[in-house]
Formats: sequence, C-alpha cells, structure tokens
Amino acid sequence: MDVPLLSVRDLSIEIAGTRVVDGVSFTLAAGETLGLVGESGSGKTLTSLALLRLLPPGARMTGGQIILEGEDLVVAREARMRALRGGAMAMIFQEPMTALNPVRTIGAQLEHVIARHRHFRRVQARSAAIEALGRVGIAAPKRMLREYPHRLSGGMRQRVLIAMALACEPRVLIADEPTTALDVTTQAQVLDLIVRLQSELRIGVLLITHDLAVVAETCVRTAVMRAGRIIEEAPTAQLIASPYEPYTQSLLANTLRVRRAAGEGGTT
Amino acid sequence: MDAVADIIVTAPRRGVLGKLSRDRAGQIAALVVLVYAIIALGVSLGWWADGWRATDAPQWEAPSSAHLLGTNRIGQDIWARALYSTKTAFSIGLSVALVATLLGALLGGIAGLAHGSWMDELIVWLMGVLDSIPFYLFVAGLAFALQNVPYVMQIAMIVVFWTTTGRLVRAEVIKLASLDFVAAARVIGVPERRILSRHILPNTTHLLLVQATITFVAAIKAEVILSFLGLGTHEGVSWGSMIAESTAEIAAGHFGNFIAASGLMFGLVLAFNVLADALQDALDPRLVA
Amino acid sequence: MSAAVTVEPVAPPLLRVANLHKHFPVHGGLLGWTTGWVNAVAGVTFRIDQGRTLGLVGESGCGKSTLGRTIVRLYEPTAGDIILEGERMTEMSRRRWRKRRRDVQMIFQDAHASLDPRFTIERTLREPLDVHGLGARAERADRVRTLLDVVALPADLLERYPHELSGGQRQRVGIARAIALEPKLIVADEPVSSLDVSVRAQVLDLLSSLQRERGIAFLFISHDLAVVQHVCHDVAVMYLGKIVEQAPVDALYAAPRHPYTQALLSAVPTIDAVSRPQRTLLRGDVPSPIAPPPGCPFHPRCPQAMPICSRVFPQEKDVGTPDAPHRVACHLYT
Repeated sequence: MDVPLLSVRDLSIEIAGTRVVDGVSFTLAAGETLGLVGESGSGKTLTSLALLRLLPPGARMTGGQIILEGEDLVVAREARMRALRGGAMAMIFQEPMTALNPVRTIGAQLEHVIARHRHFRRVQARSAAIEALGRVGIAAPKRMLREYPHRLSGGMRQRVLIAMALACEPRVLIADEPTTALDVTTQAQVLDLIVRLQSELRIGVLLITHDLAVVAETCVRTAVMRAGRIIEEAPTAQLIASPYEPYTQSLLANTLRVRRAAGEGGTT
Repeated sequence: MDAVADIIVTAPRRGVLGKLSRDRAGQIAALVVLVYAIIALGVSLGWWADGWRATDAPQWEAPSSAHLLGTNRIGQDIWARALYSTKTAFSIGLSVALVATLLGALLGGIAGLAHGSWMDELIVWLMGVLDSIPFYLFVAGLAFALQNVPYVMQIAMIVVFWTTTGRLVRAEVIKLASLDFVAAARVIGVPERRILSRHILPNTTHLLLVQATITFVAAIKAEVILSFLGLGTHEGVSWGSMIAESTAEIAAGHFGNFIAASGLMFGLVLAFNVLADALQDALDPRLVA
Repeated sequence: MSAAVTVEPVAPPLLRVANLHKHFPVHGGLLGWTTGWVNAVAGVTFRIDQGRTLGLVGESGCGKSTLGRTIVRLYEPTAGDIILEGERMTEMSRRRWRKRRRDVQMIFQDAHASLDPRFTIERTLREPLDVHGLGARAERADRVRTLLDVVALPADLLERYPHELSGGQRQRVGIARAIALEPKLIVADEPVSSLDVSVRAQVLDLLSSLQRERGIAFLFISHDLAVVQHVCHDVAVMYLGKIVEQAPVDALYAAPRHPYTQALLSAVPTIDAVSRPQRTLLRGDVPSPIAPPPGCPFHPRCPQAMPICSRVFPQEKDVGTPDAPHRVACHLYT
C-alpha cells in the first residue's frame, strides 16, 4: 500500500551537451511534503520543470522515468501531458507578479482553468472558483473574481495562484520557491496555507527552495541538490540535526538564524 | 560548480560576430553593400565613370562594348552615369545618416535624461512639430528659401530624419537612466553630462547603428523622389535624375536609362535593408543565439 | 571645595536624520495631473554614530530603500533634515556638497545592475578617483589595485567585464567602488540578498572588517532579520514610512515591544523546532503606501489594536535605559 504517488528515477537533463541534472531520483507519497534544497545552479528548477515536461528550449531530458500513479510521463503523449498539467499535477512559481495574465480578471482565469480540467459548465466553474478562493483564505471571494492582477499584492496573487493550482484537485503540487519573493509576514501566511491545505486534501507537495529554514518548518523529508545531483536525502529533522555530507553541513552553517533568547542560535 | 549559470554566462560571449557569422543573408548583403561602396569610392577618386558628362556619342545607341548600356537622349553613356550616381547616393546617404543619427542621439539623450522636466517637454514638442510637416513640401520650401545655400536638400533631410532616432534614443535612455549603474555613478558624483556620454549613450550604440543604416536608405530613396519631382538640388547626376530623364525617353521606346538607374538603386536598397535587419538581430542583447 | 565638573563636549553624531519626509506625486487622470502622494518616508528620525551599524528592517513598501537613497541624495528630501557631522545637507553649497558626498556612499542590492556592463572592472573602480581628481593620474592605477586587494579579489579581474564575474565577485567590486572615496558612512541596500547563502557570510565578514579597520559606519537596509541581527549594533523597524521601533540589536530581538516587530520576528522561519516561537499570523497583507490608514498605520492588522490607534499616531516613547535607549511608537506605551 506504499506505492508512492510520484516516483522519479535517474532523471537526467542536458543543455548544449552539458549534463545539468544527473541521475536524480526521489519519491513523493500522498499527504507528504518533500523539500528539494539547493543553491542557484543546482538544477532544482529544471528538475521540477521536467516533471511537467516544460523544459525550456535548449534543454533535453536524456534519461530517466517519471512515474505518476503508475504512469510514466516521459513517454506520455503531449495531449495527455496537457490534461495533467494544471490538473493532476499543478505548479506554482516564484514570481506571482508575472504568473497571471494582466488583461483578464481573476475570475476569468480561474474559471477557465477549472472548466478545462474538470469539464464544468460556466455556472459550476464559477461556484468552484469561489470555493477555491475561500479555501485559501481570501475574505471576499465573489469580489475577487472581478479584480485584475495588478491591483493585488504579491501575497494575494500567490494565494490566487495556489487557489488555481488546487481548484482542479491535483494529486501533486510542485511549489518552486513559492515564498522567496514575498515579505516575511506574508511568507509565514502562505507557508501555513500550503501546509494546512496539503494535509486536508492529502496531496503530495514538492517544495523547492534555497532556504533550509523553510523546509525545516514545512517538509517531512528533504533532499539536498548540488551540481545536478541529489547528494543527501533524509527526514528533515535528522538532516538538520546531523547532516552527513560536508556540503549540507556548510549550507547549515551558512544559514544565519535569528537568536531569540541570549546564547541561542546564530551560526554554528 | 554552477553548471547552468556557467552556460548562460558564456553564451553572450559568442556575441555579435558569432551571430553574424551564421547569418548567410546578412553576409551576402554586407558584401553587396561593400561592392557599391567601392564603386562610389572609385568614382570619387576618378578611377572610373569619369566620362559621365560627355555628350559626344550619338543618341540612343544600343548597348555596345563602348557603351555598356547604351546612351541616352543627349548621347551620354548610361553605364558611366549610373556608376557616378552611386557616388551621389553614398555621399548624400552617408552625410545625412551620420548627422541625423548624431543629432538624434544627442537630443534624444538629453531629453531622456531630463525626463519629466521642461527640457524634455521642449524636445518632444520639437520632434512632434517636425514630424507633422509633410516632408516634400518642407524640402521644397526650404530649397526655395535657401536657394544659394549648398546642400539644402541634405539639410532638409537631416532636419526631418533625426526625430526617429531621437524618439528611440529617448525611450532607451529613460529606461537606462532608471538602472542602478546610473544611480551608482550619481552617488559617486559623476556629473550628468558625463553620465550621458560615458554610461548611457554607449549603451545605445546598437540602436544607433541600426538607425543609421535605415536613415541611409531613407535618404537615398528620398533623393530619388525629390529628383524625380524636380526638387533635387545637387550637382552631378543621380539615379533620381536619371529616372526623371527617362520619363520622356520611355514614350519613345528607350528603356536603358530607366533600367540602369532603378536596377542599381533596387540592388543597394535591398542589400541595405537586409543588412539592417541582420545587424539588428546581431546587436539585440536580448536575442541569445 | 568640590572639584569642578568637566563636561566633555559631545561629538556630533556622524549622521542625524530629523523628521525626514520623502513624498512622490502620483500622476493620473486625463492630463497626468498629480492625483495623490505616496508618502514613502513619512517623518523619520534617527542617528548613526561613527563606526556603528544601524540596521533598517521592514517589508515591501515600508520606505527603507527610499530612505537609503534619500540619504545619499539620489532623491531630494521633501521635508526634514539630514545632518552630516553637524552640517545640514540641504544648506550646503554645491561645491561643498561635491566634497562632502565622498563621505556618504552606497552599495546596491543587485551588483550586476549596479555595474556598467560596458566598463571593465578597472574602469569602474577608477571612475570615482577620476571624477574627484584623487591622486596623480599615474597613482590611480595603484590605488585601484589596492582597492581590489582590500576586497580580496585577484588583480586579473581588472580587465574583465561584469558579466564574466560571479555574483559574489560583483558585489565585492561594488564594495570596492564604495570605499574608493574613503567614505565615513556607507548605505548598504540589501547587500547580500541576491547572493547565495554560502557567499553571504564572506561578504558580511568583509563589511565587518572594513568597519573595524576603517571606522566606517553603515546604514544596513535589509528585509532579512537573521542577517541584520548578525551585523548590526542598533536596529530600526519601519512600517509604511515610519519607524515604529528602534533599539540596540540585542534588546530588540530579545524583547520586542511593538506588535509589528513581534509579529515580524515570530514570522521568520526557524530551523530548530525547539526554538520555534508561537507564530503570530497577521491578517491581510502589507498595505500599499499610497493610501495609508489614519492614526497608527499598523492598526488594521494589529492584534492588540485599541480604539485610539485608528485616530491618533502614537508619539515615540523611550522605554529603555539612558545608555540603551529603546524607542517605540505605540499606544500601548504612551
């Protein structure tokens, strides 16, 4: 009964002949949050894009399998991928500022996505949209439907994007640096939201970030990526308490922490 | 070990020459323009086409070894005249392109840097006024008013053509002036004029080069139309004046003049346009190969 | 006969900012008239002493970047005073300011954007020396080399262009440029935010050593509370253009008084589950500075708001000790 929701085996990606992701493997179970930590250039974003087969031009997947609920996405037809993207596999990105279409209302964009994936009619899609917005803690969902993206703050936009991602009942949510561009108080709200919804809806969340503190608070297991490889993977508490790899140790050491009472925290 | 970042950093170094070396059409166009330029140079140094004025041949002779494209109504060698016109085209094109582009860069740069102030408004207003004057009427009026001033036609062209470059440069400068490296220069205490000349305008050279080539072509085309309309004011012969002459000849069944002039002009304008496109693609910093 | 008491003259602080305002007009309507104002900096008062670092923290829209840029005079203040070693900035003649501005320099967040992509590193570093005529022409090459040494960069970078350097190296060049004029105060606007975690520590160490060796004071602007705690002596917290709390760093982090500071500190994600605080999740989002709420700007989101908070802006009160002032602008303490 422990069939993982998502299983990635030996994923490799090349750009212009150079291997930038090399034999990456991990699994994600339903109701679990897996953290993928790495600095810039480690290949973590490319890995996540590969899952949705959305690699940028010039990047090619040269090997590996991506198995979602028993189906290998590497060999799936493009039509099948389109049905999956935004449906069973949803993704939210780092820059909420640019992820929404500026000339359409929130309602139009949400309803469009819902209607497409869940095959609803207008009226049904609308009420599903209102419900989705309510679930992410937006106070007046009906009014939000008529708003345009530029009138919303970063935190609001990210919430709308999460609503959009969750409205189509995904099995897997990929969150690529979802709070890096947000203020710290907004970040706390959004992370709290992701964790709450994830446990309510039993989806698998892949959380990609460079911030070890974020994974410490949200992820049950964490994998550390460096130069295209996963060099260490462990339950988060264990990774932080006793990291095995020198690179992980230095990442931890360099992560400055807030000292709340005298003599605590700081850098190791 | 920053594999992805390394790749992205090396790509721009392949840069302009790299992109040009893969652009076949651009290379051919550049070659053609070079050939024309050599012709123009040769004419001005007296190496060839010096018999363009002579009227000693019989009129309307068919093409022969003495006169490659025959002669015109008053017995002049069409081929020699066509070649000489290349020099006329280049001298007008170069002078107008150079001055109009520099003027546009200067005024556009000042306007952009002074964005929001009265100086900017003034220059934008000036550009608007000049743009709204019908070009050919303007040239005709200027030619009449400044009858004894040499290069009246070139002056008129410059006065009208600089505005396009000016607008483009102004927009680019407004964008550049908001970047942090300009702020950094200000914090150090670099005076504004130096910021413009050292930091901002050099970052617009890609724009200026493309604009210069476009202006060159526009000047040549404008000259042809002006000469055809009888408003051209320049010494010697040009493709425009040849085409103007040919209107009378065509009725009598002699096409030599027309074909020579329009053919050569077509070749140069086409080549220049393709070259301008290729340069634009090569110089655009956002288009990674 | 009692001994005469000698009162030592108190040296003026390096920088004193008094009730500083910076407003930007908002253009709208048919003809682009001014339809309103953004009060980016709405009455800020603080001081920085020689060789000390003041941290300025806050979230987006709080005005910290605008404040930093106004102090280096990239923007002209709308009202209030900036006093540099006893001299009012706005009262300086142009010639005086030309000399004085060497004392106040800036480090930018994105080093890539703050270096001219067409200048070699050598040219970038030489520019401040050329503009102010420092040293004879021939000497300047040596001075540039020395600057690179100070920031621990190899001399062969001189002929390179910014895009050929790594993020950390570019930031060091930015720092080298900032110290070229031997300033007394450097405004550092998010100097490590765009750097990888492993590189941050080195750059922060560099800034600390510059302070130790040259006595440079810093205004350290950042949204990252952990970094600020690591490098600053004193901290000021900004919200919607105003400073809501100012204190020495230990006092602020150990016992924050203002509800916003408390929420801010509790929101920072923590690595150790053990020291994870009770999270105060604020309602709503960081508001836009175009239409700030009346009274205390924080009251709509404040978990401890009282009726007076929506009417009157609280006066700043010192709840600390004479040698460790701790100023809060909150009705809980007035």
